[in-house]
Amino acid sequence: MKILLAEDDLNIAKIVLMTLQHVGQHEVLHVENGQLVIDEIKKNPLAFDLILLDEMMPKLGGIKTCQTLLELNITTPIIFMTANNSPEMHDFLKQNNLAMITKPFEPLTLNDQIQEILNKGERS
Amino acid sequence: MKHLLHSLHFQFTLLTILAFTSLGFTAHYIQQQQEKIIHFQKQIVKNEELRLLLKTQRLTKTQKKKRNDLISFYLKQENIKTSNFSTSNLKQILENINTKKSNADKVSKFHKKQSQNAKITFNGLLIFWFISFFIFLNKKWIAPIKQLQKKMNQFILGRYSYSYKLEADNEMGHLHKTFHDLAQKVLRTHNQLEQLDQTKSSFVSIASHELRTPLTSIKGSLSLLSSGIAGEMNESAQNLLTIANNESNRLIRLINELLDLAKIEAGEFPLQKEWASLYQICKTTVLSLEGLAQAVNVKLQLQVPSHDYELLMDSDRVQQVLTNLISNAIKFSPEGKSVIVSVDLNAQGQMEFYVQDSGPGIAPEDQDVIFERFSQVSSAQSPLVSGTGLGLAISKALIEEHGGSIGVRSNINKGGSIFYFTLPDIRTIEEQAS
Repeated sequence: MKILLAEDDLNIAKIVLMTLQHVGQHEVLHVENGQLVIDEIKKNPLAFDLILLDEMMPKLGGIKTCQTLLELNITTPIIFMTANNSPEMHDFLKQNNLAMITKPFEPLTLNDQIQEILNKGERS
Repeated sequence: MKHLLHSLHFQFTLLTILAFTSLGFTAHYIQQQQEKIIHFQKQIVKNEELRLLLKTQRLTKTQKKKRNDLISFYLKQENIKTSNFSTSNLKQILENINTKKSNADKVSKFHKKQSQNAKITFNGLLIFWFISFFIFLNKKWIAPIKQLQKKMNQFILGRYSYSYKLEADNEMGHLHKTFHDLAQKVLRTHNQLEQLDQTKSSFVSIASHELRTPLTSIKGSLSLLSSGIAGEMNESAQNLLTIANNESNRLIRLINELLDLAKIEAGEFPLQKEWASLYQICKTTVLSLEGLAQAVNVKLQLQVPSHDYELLMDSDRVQQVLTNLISNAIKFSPEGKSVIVSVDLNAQGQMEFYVQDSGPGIAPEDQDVIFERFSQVSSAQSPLVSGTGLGLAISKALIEEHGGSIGVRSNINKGGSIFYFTLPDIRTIEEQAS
């Protein structure tokens, strides 16, 4: 699977990268903010099978990035990875039929968690 | 001086003095007139007496003396010079008394009229002052009190108008001002508290993010290290990693529970209530805890009603409560014993969940305390899962948010505790179908 990972915290990014690449055998491109996600998607809307979005990022946060992506009518599934457990976040996810992986997550089960979400077919 | 004139006490005193003075004068005048009337009526009586004596032919010596006294009194009264009359001219006097209207009679009638008028004036004044007092009381006391009461009621409803105009410089004005100052103080405190609450709220959300971010890295690193992805490790290193891993898990639980509790207390924890199967939630929860029970060799039993029910609940949250109670029960039960989870309708028609352990029991004085935060009564038998001291406080808050209640029954002598909680909104599957 080709995954686009947006995460501004480099330590977390390293762990996610290691997990997805070594445990899940996925191909991952890591970017540090939402604007870079939009740039990548605009370059090639079908380049990725999954987008993993952090919520709090500089330049363009996860929610704004996600709204822009939805306006672009992309078909790539989006999963949020965030420590933000607020009702607003849940409302946003519910409204857009999106799923979320809560930080701190368990790296060893991250791949299974992602697969489970994709199988459920939420936002595809 | 200006202050004195505005003072309600002064105004009231002035009004009272004026009222009493004017009424006093009128009353005095009436009394004077009454005295005059009495005086002249006495004259009339004497004239009548004289008339009778004059008519009488033969008089005794005493009667004669009395007649002469009355004649001189009469002449004095009628302003007739004594020289013009002699005792021989008695017929003339009699004629005078008979024909001429007596001055005394006239004057008496005049004073009667005056007295009558004065009485009317007195009554009029009395009514006037009564009305004045009423208007004064209404304008200066009753109306301002009603106005103040209105302000207070508005304040109670949280609609206090900030447009405060300076009230009269008197006792009532000062009362209004005191209330205004008091209200301002309450509003200031209220605003400060609101601000504090907001700061606390944003602190909770910032703390949430700032604590979870480094923890994500720590937990991730430890997990990956333990898994051997970064290379194999010897047994001692593995042991140390296990400790670090467990403690980071504990820290995560503590942070999550603290944040949950803060949110529940701030009323920012909306429940996602839906009708869900009783059987399903019990089964899922018990299954998820089988591993923990087996690890410490405790038997886990589930007893549910033969008919399934549906409960209006936030399934995740009820499961969180049930998990908390069952894992506590497992932790406190000795090896080889059982934990019984049972559910049944109670007398009030609510669904009641029971989690019964075989632990040491809880002393009566501790039974309420354990539902308070950070209050673990005694250390658990099993060190497998160390608690955060928040589980029961959160469970209590969550069950109360559902409109239910939570508690414990325990006998320290016999051992064993039964934790129970209720959920009020239930329906049978048949009800749901219809």
